[in-house]
Amino acid sequence: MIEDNLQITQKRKPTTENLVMVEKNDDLISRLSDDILLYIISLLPVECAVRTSFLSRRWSDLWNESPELKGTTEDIPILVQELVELYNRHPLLPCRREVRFRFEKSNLLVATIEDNQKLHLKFSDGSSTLRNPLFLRRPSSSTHDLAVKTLHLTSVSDLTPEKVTSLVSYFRNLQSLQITECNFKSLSIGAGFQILTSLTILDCLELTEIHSFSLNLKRLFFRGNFVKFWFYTLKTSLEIAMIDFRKGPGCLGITYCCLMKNLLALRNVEILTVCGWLFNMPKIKMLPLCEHYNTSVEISLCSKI
Amino acid sequence: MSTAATADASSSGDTTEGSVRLLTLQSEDGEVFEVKETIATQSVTIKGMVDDDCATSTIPVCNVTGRTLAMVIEWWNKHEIGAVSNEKELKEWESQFDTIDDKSDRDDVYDLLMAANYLNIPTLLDCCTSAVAEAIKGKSTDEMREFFDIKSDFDEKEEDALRKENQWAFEN
Repeated sequence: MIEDNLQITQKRKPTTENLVMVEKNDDLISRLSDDILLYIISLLPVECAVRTSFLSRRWSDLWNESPELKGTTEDIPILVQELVELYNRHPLLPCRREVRFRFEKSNLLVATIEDNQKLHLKFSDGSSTLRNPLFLRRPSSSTHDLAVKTLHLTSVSDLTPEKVTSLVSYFRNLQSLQITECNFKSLSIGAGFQILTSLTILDCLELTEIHSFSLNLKRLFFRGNFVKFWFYTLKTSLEIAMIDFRKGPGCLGITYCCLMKNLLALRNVEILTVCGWLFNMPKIKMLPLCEHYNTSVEISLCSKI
Repeated sequence: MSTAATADASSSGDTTEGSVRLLTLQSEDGEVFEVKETIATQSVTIKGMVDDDCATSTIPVCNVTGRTLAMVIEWWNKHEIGAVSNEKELKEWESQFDTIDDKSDRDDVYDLLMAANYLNIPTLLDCCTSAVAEAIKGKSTDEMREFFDIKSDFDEKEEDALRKENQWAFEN
């Protein structure tokens, strides 16, 4: 039977390389096409899929082609969990790994993990933003915390604050969180993130409110429309805040009152950088510390405002 | 040449049986099969040929042996709409393909995979790929190599480094 197959295979792929291999062994699986092998790999649990990369050069080359897995929205947390836990257990894996995940027809999630610490989840459907809400939940049996220290979320659409919070709560050891181009209205950072020190929010244009319960947040970088900040700790730990409302007031009507609240919320910040147009507003000019600023300005705010 | 061949290789493929058109398929090793067009068009490749009116003479099925083609035709027959009314019965019959217990099963599945890929038969392709995936699952890298007869072509140094750095992968 095996001999039969060998003959057939020789006929099928009459390249010198294959002929040499046929003489050596009965390895037929490695001669399946890339498409089929990649599809088979995509059916495997991630850990098992990684194992195949050590089989031979043929397989390790395949694995380097950033596998594209398929599934449903519900599989995303599992995928993320498996990817992260894999790195948690096996810190010696290649330092950067990208997995492409197709779900719900054509939506794409590119999950990249780097240095065993940075996880980047980028969502897209090729052209426009996603419409499907994503249910990212904390796995019920989390025996150990994930080692990820930096999490980047890009284009997560229609996430409610609860969902972002529950996703983020999965990463207890998070030190840095970056959220880019995500279409949700409100963001809340819970008190559970003991060591989250850096929060960056870029171009989330539908965002109107940011609530922070974090005790240790030291650096805040924001770029986008005007938003309201709410800090619930008595004394903020913020050292550096760069608040760039360059996209303008957004859909919020800015009142003097909410602007004051924002500035008060940031009153203990050691270095505050804000966008100049704020200070062109008539009533702000009345504040003693505010001169006329054309561009970004670095000012130190004391508790006197 | 096998006795399973039902028509002379030289005959034209465009014959009819009642109102059902028959297609003639010829395997790589020369075996000839007559198959109802309605079931053969489960193959996307063959359906394309029929739609383009290219299926009038014998259709050569390269890379597929008579033995494998016979299995493929059996698959088509079972999956013809209305052939098996009981879903459970069909699943039971399919289960002979979806597990790989030994190396002979394994080789049959490869042959079917090649055929399913060439003829583009999604149902068969799904069944065979998941069979291979099931066989890979739960095995260490060494066990995979053993079961699938995969020879490592890393040189000694690379192999040593792999084993050292990824010991987990070689242990079960």
